Amino acid sequence: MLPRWQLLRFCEAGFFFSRISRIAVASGPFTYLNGGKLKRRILMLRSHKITLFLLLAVTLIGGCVPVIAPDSPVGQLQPRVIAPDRINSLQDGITTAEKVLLELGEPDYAWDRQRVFVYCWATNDVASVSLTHLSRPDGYWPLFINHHFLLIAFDDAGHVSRHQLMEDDSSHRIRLDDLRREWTAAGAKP
Amino acid sequence: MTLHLPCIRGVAICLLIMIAGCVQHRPLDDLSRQAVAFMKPGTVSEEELLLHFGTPTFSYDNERILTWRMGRSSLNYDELTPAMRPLSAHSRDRDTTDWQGTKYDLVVVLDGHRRLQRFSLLPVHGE
Repeated sequence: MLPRWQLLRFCEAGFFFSRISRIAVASGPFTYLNGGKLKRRILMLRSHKITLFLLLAVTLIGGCVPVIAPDSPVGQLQPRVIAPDRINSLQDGITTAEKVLLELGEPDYAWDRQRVFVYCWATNDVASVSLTHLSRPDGYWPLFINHHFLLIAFDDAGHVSRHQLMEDDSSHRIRLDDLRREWTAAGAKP
Repeated sequence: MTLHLPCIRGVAICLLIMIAGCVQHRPLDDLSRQAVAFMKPGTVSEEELLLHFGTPTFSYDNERILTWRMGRSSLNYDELTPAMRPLSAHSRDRDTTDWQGTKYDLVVVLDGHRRLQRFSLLPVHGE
């Protein structure tokens, strides 16, 4: 079974080619029959059709070229962005896990029996134009994407013992497994 | 001047396509207020929360803190319901970043009597 986005592409392509083929037939040799009257009539019809087609095309692709502002979230899988002021409010030794959850929400990863919370999100590096037909199904290009990792470790009393915000570009130099090894006691999946 | 049938048909199709996105749904702010309207601290029990929202997606500190990822319902677009299916029982060291369809993250803190102490509804993605 094809994914929904591929089916949509096929439908759009089918629609496009059906319009093109009809126009091609209309401008073919049959149009010279009946002393040219038929040709004029078909040409008139063709101009209507072209206008209609352009109207439809503009309407249908109107939402396909969204301009994405810098630092806005990308994709539908990770639409959450942790605001800088919320990160700045974290204080080692003072902020509790309860406060972290209430202000930042649930973490994307919880390691080492929930002693380490990891929040991940991605933002656009620069203002960019996203072409839906050329991008991945989740809605973004892998280029010009900044990846953010906020890691928060808790002590036995449930206070923040250490936190760090790390940023990575599209080259993916930061690997989650490496972070897990560095931040957890066991250094591996339990 | 007479309007031809194909012309009328074309205009009708164009109008239908153009007004297709004009159907107004209730804004998320309204939905979020409605979704947590019953949540009065000190009165709502854990059982009521579970019956209302289903199994939480994340729990912390012996299930004293529970979270749900809320999104627009697939059955009723004007309703906010849990957007993500619950994780497995081994959620203490989970690996998932699926926020698809999530509009709010609901974080609930329970007191010693397993009643609602406080909560926050954090916006995830605006419309």
